[in-house]
Amino acid sequence: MSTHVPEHLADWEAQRDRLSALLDGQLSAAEAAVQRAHVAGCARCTEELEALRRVVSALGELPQPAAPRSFALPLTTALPAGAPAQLPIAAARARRLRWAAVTQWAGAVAACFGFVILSGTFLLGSGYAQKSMANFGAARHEPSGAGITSASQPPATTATPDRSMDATSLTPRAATGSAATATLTPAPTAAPTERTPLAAEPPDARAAARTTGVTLMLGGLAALVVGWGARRRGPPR
Amino acid sequence: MGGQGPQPEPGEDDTLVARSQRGEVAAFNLLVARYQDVAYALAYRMLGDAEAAADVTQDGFVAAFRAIRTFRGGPFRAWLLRIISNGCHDYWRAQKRRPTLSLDALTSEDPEGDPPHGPMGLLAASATWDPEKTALRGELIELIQRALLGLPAEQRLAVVLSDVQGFAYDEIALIMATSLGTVKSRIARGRAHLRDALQAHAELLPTMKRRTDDLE
Repeated sequence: MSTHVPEHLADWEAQRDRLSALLDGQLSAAEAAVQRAHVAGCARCTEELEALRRVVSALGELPQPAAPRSFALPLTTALPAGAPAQLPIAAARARRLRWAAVTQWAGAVAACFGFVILSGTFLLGSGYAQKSMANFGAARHEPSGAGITSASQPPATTATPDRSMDATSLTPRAATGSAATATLTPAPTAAPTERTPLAAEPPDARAAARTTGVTLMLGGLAALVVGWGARRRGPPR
Repeated sequence: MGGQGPQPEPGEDDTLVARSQRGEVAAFNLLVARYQDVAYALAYRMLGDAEAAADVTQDGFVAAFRAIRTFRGGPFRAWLLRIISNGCHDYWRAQKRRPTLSLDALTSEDPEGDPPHGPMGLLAASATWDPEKTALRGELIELIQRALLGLPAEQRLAVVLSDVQGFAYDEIALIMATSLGTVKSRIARGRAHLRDALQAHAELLPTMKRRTDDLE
């Protein structure tokens, strides 16, 4: 009957969806009319429709078992106090997603910090800072860069020698113990005319900062990836 | 189709839900009595196991009561059945195995063989089961249930809700929290899978009554 080449040969799955919907009266009147006319002239669709109808009919044969007992709740059952309980599934999922989001954002922030610190140390280690450091070294009559080897070196090298301790009346032990503080706030008495704040950073602190930066950045990136992955996973619902 | 009949008066459900939200277990138990058959039947057809279905149904009602204050209107039955179907998913996850047979196994297996699940005893006890019917019908029911268990979970849920329980597409979409289009295609795909699985046993199918009025 129908002579047009049906597009269902190209997309059989979509046609099967349509036939299934036709069976359930889920097509619009116009669509249904088109499909009926087509099925009448198409052996494959006639067969498919008949097969689907048999399946639906077979499924309708399945008895629906009645509840084997009462599922009534004990009258003593209480609603959870306080905030209304979420469904257990929804609540667990929400918790997981919340933690994943926190991990992800904390990771992103940490990675940014790490990057800033790291690029800061590189800036300091080159150009302008180098010049300043040279000035610093000259002013203090000792070569800079001596302590650049590693952060695990004795921190005594990071502290400015005797004079700063004299001036601030710190014991040597305390001065070495707070190397970071000392580097951030250099002793004001040490050659004040020659020094710029940037240049005040002793090389060993740069190494330490660099290590911190790398650690923060890598750790942050790892947390970012873990959090992102956890948010992508999770149940399909 | 089984046919779920008309929706109960929504007003009645709403009243009972409101009372349940104030902590009245007795009111909630009226909802339990109203929906426990349909909830249990869904779990049973999804899991193919009477005991597991009873556990999932009971847990579902407990979870529904505990979460009743988060219910924000709409059809209560769809909300409840969504909880039940989620419970079925969780059950599979907890079991770390799906109670499925591959379609290949199903179609190549001798239907006379030892059934992996034993729904026949349960069917005999169910309200709609007529023991006078022939063994052929029993065999067919067994076959269909096993074919159902071979479907991917979402197709199985769509097909059970539509063709076994007789829900309309829009309520299925509510239960599955998805669009009408997705429901339509899950049903169609599930039916096509079942057709393939059942075709190997075509000799059983002609005994069923044909539904010829669908296209009229």
